[in-house]
Amino acid sequence: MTERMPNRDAAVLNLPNVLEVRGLNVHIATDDGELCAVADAAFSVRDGETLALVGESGAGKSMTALAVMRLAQSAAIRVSGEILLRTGEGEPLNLLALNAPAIRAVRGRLASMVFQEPMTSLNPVLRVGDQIAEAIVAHEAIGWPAARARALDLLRLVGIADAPARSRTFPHELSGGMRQRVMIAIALACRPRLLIADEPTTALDVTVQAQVLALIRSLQKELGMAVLFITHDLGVVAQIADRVAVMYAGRIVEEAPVRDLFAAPRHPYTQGLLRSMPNAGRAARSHRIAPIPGSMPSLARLPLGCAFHPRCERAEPGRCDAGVPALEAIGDLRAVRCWRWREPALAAAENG
Amino acid sequence: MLRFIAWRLGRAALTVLLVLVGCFVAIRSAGSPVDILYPEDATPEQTALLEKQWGLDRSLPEQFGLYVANLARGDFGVSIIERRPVTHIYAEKLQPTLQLAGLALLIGVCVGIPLGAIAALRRGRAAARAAMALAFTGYAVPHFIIAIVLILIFSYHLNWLPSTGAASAWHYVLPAVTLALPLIAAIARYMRSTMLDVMNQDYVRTARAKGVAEPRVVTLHVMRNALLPLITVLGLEVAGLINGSLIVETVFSWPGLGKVLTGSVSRRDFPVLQFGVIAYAIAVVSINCLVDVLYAVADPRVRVES
Repeated sequence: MTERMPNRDAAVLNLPNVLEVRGLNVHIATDDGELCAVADAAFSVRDGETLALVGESGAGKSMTALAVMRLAQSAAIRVSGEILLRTGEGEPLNLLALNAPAIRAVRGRLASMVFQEPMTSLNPVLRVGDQIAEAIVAHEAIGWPAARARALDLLRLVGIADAPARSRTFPHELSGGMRQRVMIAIALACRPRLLIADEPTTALDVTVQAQVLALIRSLQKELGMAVLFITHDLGVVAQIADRVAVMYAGRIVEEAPVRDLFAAPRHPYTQGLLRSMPNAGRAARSHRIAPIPGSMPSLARLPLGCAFHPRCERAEPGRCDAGVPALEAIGDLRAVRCWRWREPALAAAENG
Repeated sequence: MLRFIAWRLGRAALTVLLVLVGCFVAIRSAGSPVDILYPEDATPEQTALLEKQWGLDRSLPEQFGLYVANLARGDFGVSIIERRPVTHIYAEKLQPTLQLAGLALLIGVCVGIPLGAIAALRRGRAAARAAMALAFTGYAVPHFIIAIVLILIFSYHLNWLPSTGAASAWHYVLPAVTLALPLIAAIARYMRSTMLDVMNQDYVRTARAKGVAEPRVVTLHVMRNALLPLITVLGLEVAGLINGSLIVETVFSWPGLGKVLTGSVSRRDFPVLQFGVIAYAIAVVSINCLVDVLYAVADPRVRVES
């Protein structure tokens, strides 16, 4: 966890936002009425920066990512808000306002996505080289032979040896880690400004996981793109993120630079998450894992007030169960959504 | 691979043999062809002579053994009624049957696949639902009813299309459509359900995330994968098509194998019927083998395992 604690807060602040999300809501129609999977999400990712979106399954992380790519659209899903993607020159694109051909031109070219399941994310009947080349042909006036040649370069870029032979294989002939490398090659085919990685290492073995993380990190440095990294694993966050946004029951509850978040979490949920994390480093013997009691509420039955209050040891009746707190800015870089974050009990917990 | 093929062939041969035994016993227990060949007032001596001549006086196992021995020598027998080799009779009638079945298969595939695909892409809409309800009906109605309804409408009332024989191209329309309708229904229904399954696959989302245009997503990523399981279904449906063609050919007086075969049943022409059964069994079995091969060609995952 101490491997990489970037300290470039000041530098990061001056970079332009590649992605800026404002007031994003995702509603899903179900038989029991409409659920709010993502409520009023707001965050931004700057050039060359990695923002980690953290939370338990069902917190709305993946839905947020799919909404940004406009891949969450079906008859049952309603997305509203503003998703601004800066393309370099001129006004940023509001992705939610684009028509089908325009969003198609964004996907894979300006913004790409790597998914959680490498085993099922590649088409089983197409050769992997062609699946990479397809992403190039979709956006550039280029023939298939030239695109295939570039696919070979991309395979080399993601660290696959013997690229010509590998490009002719079918996905089932490759291991999970290899397939995820191919997925990354597809995502990077047109050198996007933004890479969204939705739990890209969750389905992989730990050693392969480390390789893929290192690959994403080095490629980000090389290509200078912004990365929105979605994970439930705080260990991964520590390795890859510059800033972190913690989600709970569809809302962002805390946002902070990664170093500050680990050193001094403000939201009781974040504090609970950190306490429930196994720590191999300092004081391993004296450090006891303390899980957060209870579980995240179903989106269909959210409690009144702060969604976390039934599990929060500092919840104050009449206040925390009455209204949803706002995401309050603390300085330039941090924000927290808690009624009681200023109170000494919470401040003391930082050091506890 | 060789062991796999040998095993498949052995199983296929066993299937054909079992079918043959079943047919052999069934037709002989139904009566003797002599009753049909000779008038009712024929003397017992006359019938006994004919039965001896055709070997019908022997025991069933004896007859069967003799028949199989002749088969092994390439002698498929002589028609009791027509007094000429059964192979000649079948050779004459093979072409019209193949043409009709082939045409029906072509219509079934060319209409059924797009219909199922469109129904999947427009699922939930009234037109797609109505089409699928109709397809379900088409699948449930037997061939002979479709044939009678079509003849009533298009031949009898409208007088647009001929209903008997194979004299012109127009004669192909009604029997081919009769055979094709249940096939269209089956293919469309299956295509729709596999399409819906594939549309939810992760790799389709990947294709969209790459920015691939929607027509290409639908054809290359969705349909290409949806067609794989359809190959298996198609093999089964072709076997059904062969069964159906027997009845449809009879209804439309089609000069094909169906008529030969049904005729041989009513006239108790044992050698003709037996050869027909063997030929149809071999056809169905080899189509199933062909399906396995096709599947291996179309799906790279199968290619490697075999």
